[in-house]
Amino acid sequence: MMRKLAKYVAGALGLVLALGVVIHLPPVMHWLGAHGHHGAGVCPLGYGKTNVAIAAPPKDGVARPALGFSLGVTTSAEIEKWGLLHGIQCTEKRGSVTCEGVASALLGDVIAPPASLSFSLDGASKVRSLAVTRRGPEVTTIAAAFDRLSQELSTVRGAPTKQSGSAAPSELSRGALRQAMVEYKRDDYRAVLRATNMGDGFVLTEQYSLN
Amino acid sequence: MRAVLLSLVIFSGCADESAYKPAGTGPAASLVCPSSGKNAYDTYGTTAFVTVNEAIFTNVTAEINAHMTANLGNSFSLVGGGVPTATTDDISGFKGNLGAFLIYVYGGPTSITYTDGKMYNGVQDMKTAHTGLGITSSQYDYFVANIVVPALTSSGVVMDDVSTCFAPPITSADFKATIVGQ
Repeated sequence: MMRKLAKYVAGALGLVLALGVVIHLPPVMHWLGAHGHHGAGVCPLGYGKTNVAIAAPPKDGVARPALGFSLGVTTSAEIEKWGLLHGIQCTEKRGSVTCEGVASALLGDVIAPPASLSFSLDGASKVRSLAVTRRGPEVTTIAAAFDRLSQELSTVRGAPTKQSGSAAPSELSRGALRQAMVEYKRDDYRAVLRATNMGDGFVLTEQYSLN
Repeated sequence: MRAVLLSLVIFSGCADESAYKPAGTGPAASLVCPSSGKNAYDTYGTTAFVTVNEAIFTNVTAEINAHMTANLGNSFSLVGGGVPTATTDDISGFKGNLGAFLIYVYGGPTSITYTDGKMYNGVQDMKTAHTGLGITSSQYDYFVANIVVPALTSSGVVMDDVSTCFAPPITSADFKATIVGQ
């Protein structure tokens, strides 16, 4: 009786183990991510958790925020691995990597619309710049993301070096191509945020680059 | 008598404004800017349009230096290459053609002599001009937000005019469809 029970338990454990191995195979993870999980919470052990901290901090200790990626440090191989882990289609060509339909939860924002990410690479295949485009129908969502990101950048990099327009929903809604912009440019780092009324929706673009 | 004169002055003022008839025939020639009561071309003129056009190329150069082709796709990086055929123009021809297109669309003449001394026709087929470039919707949005709007505002176009007499062709779904996915 006990031997029979032990056999069943061992069989069940083997099955769970096999399933665990299978769902972590890159093509399967990619499929899971592409079918509703978007990489957020696929794995209970944390391999699919919603953070983007894939890069080591810069050697000089100066923060150059880029949504959790690290300018001059993150490599194209790390981006590919990150994309695979979260079921995101990333394409590398001619010194750049593009990732489409990235859930904003993976970029530290739970309400902003999905993002398109474009990384440009240096000769060593390290990220030289990152540009992000998010489009949504609601002005409040885009305005809130713009405010949150600019506050985060101000905290880390100080006051904006340039700004124009207002991201207040009432102001952005006043007409097509109304735009709010903030720029943080100091030393070797530059970040620019723009919230723009596109007439049929609102777009938030972010640029993070090494000068 | 003074009342009659005053009403004549007021009437003639109103008559002048309502009598505005744009000379241009481009798709946005009838859009009136709040700052002037005239269309964009009649408000800002050739010089300002050339300034905006040059600012577009300045912004594109800065964009390509910082991010290469990641955000704009092949619209500008293949200039002069000839493959696809939409990229046959060199940079000077590209500038002239875009300048002529903008001037025509916003109510100016159908052709202009650009700063290189050459004549360019503004009546152009945008679908043909973008065939083979594979521009995505995100790249179009990025181009409008990061290249076009800053070019307009940095060249002195006031925001109310940007929204009213410049934005409609750029944000039109039909126009976007001639550029994206070709």
